[in-house]
Amino acid sequence: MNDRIRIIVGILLLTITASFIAFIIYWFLFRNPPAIVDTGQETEVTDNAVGGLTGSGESDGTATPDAADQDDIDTLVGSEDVITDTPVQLTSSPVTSATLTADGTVAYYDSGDGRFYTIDENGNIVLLSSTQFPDAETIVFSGDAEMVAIEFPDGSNVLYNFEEEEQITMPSHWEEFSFSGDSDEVISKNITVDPSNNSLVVTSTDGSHTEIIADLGTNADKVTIDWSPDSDVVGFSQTGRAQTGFGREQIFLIGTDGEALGYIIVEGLAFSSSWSPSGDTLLYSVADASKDFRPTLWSVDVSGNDIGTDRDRYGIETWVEKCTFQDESTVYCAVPREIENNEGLDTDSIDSPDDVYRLDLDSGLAILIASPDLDYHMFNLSVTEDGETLYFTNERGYLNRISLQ
Amino acid sequence: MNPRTRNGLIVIGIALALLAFFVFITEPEGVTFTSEKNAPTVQDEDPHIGTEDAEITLVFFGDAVSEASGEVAGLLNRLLENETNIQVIFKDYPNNSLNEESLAAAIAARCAHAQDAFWEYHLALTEQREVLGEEVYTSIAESLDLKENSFKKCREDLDIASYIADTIQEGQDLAVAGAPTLFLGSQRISGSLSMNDLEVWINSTVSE
Repeated sequence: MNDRIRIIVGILLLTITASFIAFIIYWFLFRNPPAIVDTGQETEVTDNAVGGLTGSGESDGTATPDAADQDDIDTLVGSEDVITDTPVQLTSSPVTSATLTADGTVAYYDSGDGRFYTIDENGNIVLLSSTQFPDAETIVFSGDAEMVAIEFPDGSNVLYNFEEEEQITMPSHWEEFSFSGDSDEVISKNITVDPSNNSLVVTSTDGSHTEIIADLGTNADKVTIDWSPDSDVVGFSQTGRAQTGFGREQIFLIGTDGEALGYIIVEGLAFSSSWSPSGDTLLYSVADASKDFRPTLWSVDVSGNDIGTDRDRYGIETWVEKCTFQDESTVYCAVPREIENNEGLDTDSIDSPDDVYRLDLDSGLAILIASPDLDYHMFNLSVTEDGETLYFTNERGYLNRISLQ
Repeated sequence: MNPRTRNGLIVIGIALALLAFFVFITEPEGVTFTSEKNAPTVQDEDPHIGTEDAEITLVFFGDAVSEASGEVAGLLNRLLENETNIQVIFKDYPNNSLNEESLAAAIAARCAHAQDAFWEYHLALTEQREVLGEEVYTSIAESLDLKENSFKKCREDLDIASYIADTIQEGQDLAVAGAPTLFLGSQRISGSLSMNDLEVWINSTVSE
């Protein structure tokens, strides 16, 4: 072996060795830790513990969802008079956390001055509060947009009531917030240095009462807090038992006492969801392995004893983040004109403009109602109660509206 | 290869591999809405209203067709009547998507500015914002005794539209959501205001 070959072989060996060392570092330092329970083993259900509910597979509900309990609705995709107008651009720069209010205006956070405003369909901007919250990182409005939870980059958190003009400081080790349906309480993750102290905490929005409802342990990143409009469910725990079938997942609904209210079975990865106005139905999307990880849209009954039953899969390919409820059975969704395989795994990966469909959850009929003449990527949709105006932010974060009449 | 060279190559190889690895696993930063620029730049071409060497300079991103912007323009006009230590610099921030007369109205006011009648023209536009059109632009110009030919020629001048495009870009660089937005230095406030809101904001900002 001459010197040149020896050097090349040496470099190759070095590269392999370095890659191996890098992999070891990744594996032990950066990889997400395994769930406490993910082997499908039965464990005791413990009160006040998400760890118990996440691994038990037990449900308080009488219905037992299974993988076969589903209907594939061959969504009838029709079209009526399709709106092709260019959407009206309401703002000339990005706005943050645009949220439809009860009076039909849209509330948003202006990162330029740290204040909250509303804007109406004619573009008239009104100050929601003169109080400034500069450099906010995360904004979560209550359902009626009368309150807001603000997270700052330094970890500090604030609840602000626009009506009362009152501000409550939350502990800095609390992360993520979701308001109850009546906005009287807010749930958060209490994330501590010692994972054994991690928990779900509920506090009244006037700051008078705080309660730990469940331990999180090392499963904090597998729990999504999203309080239902009827206030029965505070979030989801993606630590169910392993399921037969690739990508199938058991997801628990967490009750207000941290108990398992029941579970749903989803047929794919990248689960995300949205509550119907009553909280009886959950609309969700997953990346379905059997569909080459394209996004699939589903609904499931999550009311009372029927949790996890009556699953329906719809024919339009989109993510639940691109959908909004008008009422209990009417949903408006932005649907990408083109979707590639594997794009269901990541909403950021899509690079196609959207059309707007109206989906009837009862019949499965999806009607194309708007196909703007310019290319728009639509996010953060909301529709007025009368169904006349659809608001959305485009890929640049600018707020737009489409008249649906 | 001598042992020293070989050891050096080993160290360099591992370092490069680790560097590449960390670059690979580092997620790209998300979209940030934070603007690097935080205060508007006053240009000679910008209309000045009020005392030129005034102590306080407000920069007003306005749009004649916006109801809220018209209200703020009215407030500023009243304020300037009583305050000699305030001047207002106007920046066009039309949004033709909201109202198709927005840009045309801004151009007409800019051409009135060429004949030193910007503010009067702008205020007249805000009062007739619901009926804007060619007739209104011409009639306001006549009522202000603007030179007809110069005004007409100016409105066809593409440089005016280009200048307004620059102020729109400046507003977008400052992440101005819409008109009306007022700046005092790097501090700003948007939307409808009462006179009390305006005065409180100016006083509190000046005292900071």
